[in-house]
Amino acid sequence: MGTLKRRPFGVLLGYDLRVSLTSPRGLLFLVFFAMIWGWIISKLAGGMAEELRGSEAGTVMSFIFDASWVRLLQNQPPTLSAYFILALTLTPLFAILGSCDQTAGDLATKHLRFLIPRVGRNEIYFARFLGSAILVGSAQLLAVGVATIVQLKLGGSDDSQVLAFGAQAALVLVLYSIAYVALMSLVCATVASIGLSLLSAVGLVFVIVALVAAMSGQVPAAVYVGYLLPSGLKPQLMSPDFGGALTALAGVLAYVVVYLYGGLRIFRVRDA
Amino acid sequence: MTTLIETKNLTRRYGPVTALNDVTLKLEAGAPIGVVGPNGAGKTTFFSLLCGFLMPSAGSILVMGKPPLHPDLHGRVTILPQDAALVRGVAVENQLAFFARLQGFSSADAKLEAARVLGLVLLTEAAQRPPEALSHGMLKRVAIAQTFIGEPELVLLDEPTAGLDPASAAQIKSLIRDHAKERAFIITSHNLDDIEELCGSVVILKGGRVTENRTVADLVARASVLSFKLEKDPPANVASLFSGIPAVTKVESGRPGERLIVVHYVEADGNATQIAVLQVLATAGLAFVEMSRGRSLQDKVIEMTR
Repeated sequence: MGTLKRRPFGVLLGYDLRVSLTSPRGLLFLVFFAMIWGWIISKLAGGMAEELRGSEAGTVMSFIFDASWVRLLQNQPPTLSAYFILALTLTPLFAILGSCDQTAGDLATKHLRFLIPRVGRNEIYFARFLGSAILVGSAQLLAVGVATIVQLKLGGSDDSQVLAFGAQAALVLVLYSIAYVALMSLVCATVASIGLSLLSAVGLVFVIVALVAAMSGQVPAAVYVGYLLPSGLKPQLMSPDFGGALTALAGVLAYVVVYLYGGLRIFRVRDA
Repeated sequence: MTTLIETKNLTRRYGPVTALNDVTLKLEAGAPIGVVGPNGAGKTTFFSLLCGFLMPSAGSILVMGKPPLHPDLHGRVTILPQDAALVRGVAVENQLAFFARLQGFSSADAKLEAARVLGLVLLTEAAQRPPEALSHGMLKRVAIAQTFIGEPELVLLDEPTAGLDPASAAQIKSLIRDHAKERAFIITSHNLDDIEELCGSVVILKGGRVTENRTVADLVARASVLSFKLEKDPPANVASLFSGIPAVTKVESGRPGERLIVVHYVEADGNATQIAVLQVLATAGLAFVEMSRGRSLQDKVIEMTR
């Protein structure tokens, strides 16, 4: 699939990051992300997650949601766990939103025609992926950091346990986000429009989730459809112990590789 | 002579439409080369294939001996693409500096290079403006400026003077002339006067096929044709007026209203035939408003692509 030249790759990455941090689109993502998580974390800071640890709440939650949620809340600091569960649920949305314009916008405006005579398609593709991954990943890290501080301030759990689980949550959320950013690399290489890439990805996630939810009762094999997306590994990613999460993260990395490779195959030969 | 472009059976289809059909072509370095043809002839598709924006449906391309996306060509081939947009909200000088950095300039040198190329197109005062604050003509000049970043060996200009006011167009043509000795240019334009003025040879495309690949001088037959734009339509027997000049082989007149005659002759005795032709016109009382050696490229291309 060719090589990656380090210097133009670095130039592209630096420029993309600068532009995405100052562009209306990048700022919109960051403001939206900060507002939503600011609001959620401020609610969690009231200590409401403590109540979810009770056996009655656990029974209700395992009935409505997933047993992995209950295990996590009972075995790890509750506020941070609640944040982690919500973050893991909303990550696809934010990752898609924050990375919907990797190559799609430049394909739409034909801006790539200024770049292609100067730099390889590989460099453009990977720089855009990495730029988006850094943007979304940094936002996730920041939010986990704030949630961890909130948990430490609330007390009720051993500080070292809070910090260890904070690190685990950060690793899982960043890698899980990157898997969706990679999915967007594939989508953006396929469609030449930011709006269409956003709609396609949201549509894809919605259809797969709805399909699995609707069919898994009747057709047990339908659960495998869920593995088309990284969210198929969500129960494993919620493992309270680091070892379990680590195994799931290896699976997440496989999604990253598969999506990126698929997108690169398309981007290298598509009309620009 | 260095081969700039070599294509073999190059074909590009868009669904059922064949934009470029089995083009086998060799273009050598030298004076600028024009690529002309009517709308839809395949000119922009040809350029897009040369730069690797599009992939061929069949056939092969070599640009200076390498396939279009080869890393060795980065920065050596630049293009003024049609319809490509700069990033909104970013000063054009910063965007040009970014392109320069991609071509290997250091951060400081890239800024100087961006300023230099903006100066070439007389846009220094617009350096800090974002693209959305520039007129169409200014954007075109910025896009032309980026083709001069670094030391490109081959510059592809797709319609460089389209949308420019006459003064800007003249300045861009002067820029091309000034740089034509240092680097090769391939230019497409619907303005055939520009092509005739700037280019040494012309490739004529029609319906995705190459119909001619010749020097401009050959094509317009400068050495053996005189064209006259008369004050009024010539008489029906205009050809017989020149029967006394043995070197004249054919006389064509334009359609009614065109007020045109084209005199073909065999170049044998320096300017004597040309002088004799002028004397015949004077004797017959046929005053002309314009005379040119050869036929205009415009007439020739229209004839060939009709």
